[in-house]
Amino acid sequence: MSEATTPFYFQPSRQSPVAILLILARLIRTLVGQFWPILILILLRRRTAGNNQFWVWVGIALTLLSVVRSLLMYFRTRFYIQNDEFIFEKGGFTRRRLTIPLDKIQTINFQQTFLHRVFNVVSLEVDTSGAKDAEITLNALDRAKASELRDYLLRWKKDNPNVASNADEAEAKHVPEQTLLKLDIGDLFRIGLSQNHLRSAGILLGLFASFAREIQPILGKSTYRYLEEELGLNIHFFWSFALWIVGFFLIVSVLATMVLTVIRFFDLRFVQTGDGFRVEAGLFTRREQAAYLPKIQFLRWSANPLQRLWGMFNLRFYQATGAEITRKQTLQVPGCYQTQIDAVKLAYFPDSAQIDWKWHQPNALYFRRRMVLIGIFPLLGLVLKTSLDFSWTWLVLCILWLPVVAWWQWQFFKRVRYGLSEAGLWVKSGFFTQSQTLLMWHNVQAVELEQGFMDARYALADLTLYTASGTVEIEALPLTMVRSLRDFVLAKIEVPKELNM
Amino acid sequence: MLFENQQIAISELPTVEAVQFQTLPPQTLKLRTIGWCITQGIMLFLLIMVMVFSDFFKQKWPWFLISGIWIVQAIYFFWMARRRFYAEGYAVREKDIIHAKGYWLKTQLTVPYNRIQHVEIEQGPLARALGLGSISVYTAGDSGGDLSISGIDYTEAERIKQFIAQKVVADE
Repeated sequence: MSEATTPFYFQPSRQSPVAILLILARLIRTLVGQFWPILILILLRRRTAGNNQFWVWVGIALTLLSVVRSLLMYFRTRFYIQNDEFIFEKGGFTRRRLTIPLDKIQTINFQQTFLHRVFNVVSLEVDTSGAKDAEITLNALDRAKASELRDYLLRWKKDNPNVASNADEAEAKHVPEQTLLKLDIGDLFRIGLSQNHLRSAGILLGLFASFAREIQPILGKSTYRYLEEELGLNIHFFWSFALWIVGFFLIVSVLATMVLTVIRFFDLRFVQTGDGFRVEAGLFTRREQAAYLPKIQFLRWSANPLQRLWGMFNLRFYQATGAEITRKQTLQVPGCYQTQIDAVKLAYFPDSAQIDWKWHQPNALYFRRRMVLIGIFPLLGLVLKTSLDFSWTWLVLCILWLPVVAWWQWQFFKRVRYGLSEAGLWVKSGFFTQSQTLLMWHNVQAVELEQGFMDARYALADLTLYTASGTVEIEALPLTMVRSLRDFVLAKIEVPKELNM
Repeated sequence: MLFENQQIAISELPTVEAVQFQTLPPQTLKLRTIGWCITQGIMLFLLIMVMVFSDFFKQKWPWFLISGIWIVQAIYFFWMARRRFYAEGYAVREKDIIHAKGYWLKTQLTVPYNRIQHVEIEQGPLARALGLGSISVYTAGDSGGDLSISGIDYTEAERIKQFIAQKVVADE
């Protein structure tokens, strides 16, 4: 067959015909999404007004228009690769033609909604480093063809290393694809269970308590008295009831998180590819996201007490999508174990395990600053509240607030560590949820040295490191150290790229 | 003492501290004082409207209280505008641009040219009358590591833009 000699992507090709259906589905969804208030109005009016024939015609016209548009969009969407350029023609009533040099292509993502899975197609998204609207989305493409196309694009990128992109490191060693992690049901269960349910239950308790207070004046004191006298319930009834409610919400929160976790991370596969990582997950909508090593700005992994008990981490890649695209993309892999973390660390920051890190702790001012913010300021509010509207609960809260916050913040402060090395930064912090951040200096885009008036007194300073996907901060270190660190980082990133590697 | 095993000798690193910061032109202070007058004027106008039409101000003491607060904050912001102005400065170096500012919280933001995406110059009507403009330097992504100096000599801003554009091209 001729197909074997010239792959489909060298000739103008269309998407899979399933695309018509998908485009139509999306059109109808947007139409309904935009006009649902009108739709409801019409449906309500139908009973009273007689002339709904007009609306039926409008409906038919709109449907026809949608179908015509979908067909047009399908037949007018063509893509092919020619002279190292990806050419994409699209348009419904207006036509557009995009030409994207292959070396501008940054990431290729697959996505599968439920409908996609029924027909075994994927939607393909090509991110570029150009202007925002130069992104390409193919609605539906056969899975095999999509993989073929992606393989070709990735191969091309490897064969033509960095014409414009800073993909220096990408061509490193050619590692065959390797599945690092597969989540089974047990893992999903643990991930769902280890989310922060206490926080949601606490919020619910607060809402409930304030609600109970709000309704008291409405019902009048007699309600409680009635409950007490007639039903033999006392004030403890309220609290036990509240406890039941909290328990109930806790269970609801756990169950809901479980369901969401399963939907989002079902059958998660975390794969190491030659030039980065890929995550596939999802029950209904199967998402496939990729993180290319040169695009990864920094790594962060964290674990709360329950996750630490199971040795699990929640890993996040902070990556820039394109050079000028102003949105950042974080890629999350829950339920990682130490081995996966090590593999990712090794790929992003190869010598992080061997080099010796110089560990520094922030000055005690760090603790005091946080005490003022989290301890003293809220305490002032609490005291004001208690003195205006006295109740024993508030008084107890007032008395306990400072010691509890002090203990918590001291534990927090004790655990903050800044690891400095020649190639990068390693931050460890957190008490309940302990997190670690790994950043290589060459990902830094701008550096900001900050010194508040209290810092100045103790000759301390903070440093904010800006990357294309968020910031990493160093707080309350000696000014001289921060200055020399800033000069070092600047010297490191101002070296022309060829010399840097 | 901070890094031992390194190719770049710390002592030979160019330090930001040795840099002579360029202060903003005196017209900028004028511009900011005009801005202060406008905001304070609007605030005062609104306050007077409230005071005239509200029953609460039939008594005397709220008048004293409110006008006292207004005077204190007006003086504070007048003073702060001056403090901030004298603390602000910028430096265009061979490989990066530095912007220092702040009175209570002093910050020094450094953006290397090889991380710059584009440069923008803006000029409002008041600034145009005074021959001023503002220059903004943007880096990739939404990191917020963007540098913006407002109240800089317009021709100077143009020159800096030219210079950076040259550098960015040369870097690629």
